[in-house]
Amino acid sequence: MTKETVIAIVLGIILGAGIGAYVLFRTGNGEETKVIPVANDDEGKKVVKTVVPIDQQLLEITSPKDKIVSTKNTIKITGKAQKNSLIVVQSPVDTEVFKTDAETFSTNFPLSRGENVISISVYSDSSTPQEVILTIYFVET
Amino acid sequence: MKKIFGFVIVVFFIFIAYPVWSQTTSPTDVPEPTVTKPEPTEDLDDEVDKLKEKVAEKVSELSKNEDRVTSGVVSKVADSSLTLGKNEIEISIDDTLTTYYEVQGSAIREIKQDDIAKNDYIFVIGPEINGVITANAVYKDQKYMVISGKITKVNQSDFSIEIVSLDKTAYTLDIQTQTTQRMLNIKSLAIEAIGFSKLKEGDAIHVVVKNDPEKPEATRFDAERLLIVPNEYFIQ
Repeated sequence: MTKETVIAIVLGIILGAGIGAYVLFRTGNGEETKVIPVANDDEGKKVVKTVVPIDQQLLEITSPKDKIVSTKNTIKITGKAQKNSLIVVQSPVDTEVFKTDAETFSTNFPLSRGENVISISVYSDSSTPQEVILTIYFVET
Repeated sequence: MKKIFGFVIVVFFIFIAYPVWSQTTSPTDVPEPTVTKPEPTEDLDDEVDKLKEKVAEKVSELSKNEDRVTSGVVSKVADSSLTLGKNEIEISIDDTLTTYYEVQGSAIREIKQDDIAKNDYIFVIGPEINGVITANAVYKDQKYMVISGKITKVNQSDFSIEIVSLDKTAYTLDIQTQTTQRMLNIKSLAIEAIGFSKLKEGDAIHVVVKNDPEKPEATRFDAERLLIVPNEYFIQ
């Protein structure tokens, strides 16, 4: 092995180690992320996932539960979402849009007689919302 | 609950013995009628106890089973059952106890069992007992879908738009004169009425459509109501 070959090998190792160290330390300072679904899996439909910051509050509907029967013509929807998110609530009878001041939100939403499919979409840091779909049945007993 | 109360009342009337009364006569040669009170036997007591236990057990079982809602497209209609959907969920129906309704706009009217046919979309309210869903009430209704996504194309020629939903399904929506079109004002966050000309590619859209149970794979619908969230909201 000639002297030039040895030098080339040594320089190559040093360069590789240097690049590796740079990538390692650079990645260590990067933002941690998590993968979340943006559409709930309703009756076998596809669920699309997206990457969001790890500390982002995910959309969570605390009430009502899905597929309940209501005897009133309005339902109180409460949930959790990232602060300052835009929330769109839509059903065949009404549409509401509001911004959350805190990590919890609440709204009284009208129901029509029969089945009500209600979509709750939250836009936090991107134009792709997280969405939960509830089905509430309004029948007067 | 009503069935149980009726059953308990029937049980009491069967098993309680009433005394027989008769009038005493003046002293004559006519023999006096005797008043007899039947003495309860041990066997009868046992039977009453067993029956009370069964009734209590049934009441307890029924109270644990809250009413469930099951919905789907009718695939089979039989005298004492309905079958729903691809999963063939069987719903037990009763001639006298199950009631039938149809949702028509903002009203609900009572209908008959014969008015429920194959391919109707229904939802059923009733308890699940031992794995069988028993229908207390059957409602015939219209199924709606709410789709969220982005506009990918606006067709001025036929007043339709193409969108891609969150689950990456492509839909074509026809904008009719009766379609309720709204857009978010990005400054005030108020919802304002708009026309077809305001629809543009790249904007987020939330739309409600009627689902046709006879065409489950359809991807072209008339838009019932839609809300646009302009792309400018996300870049301000």
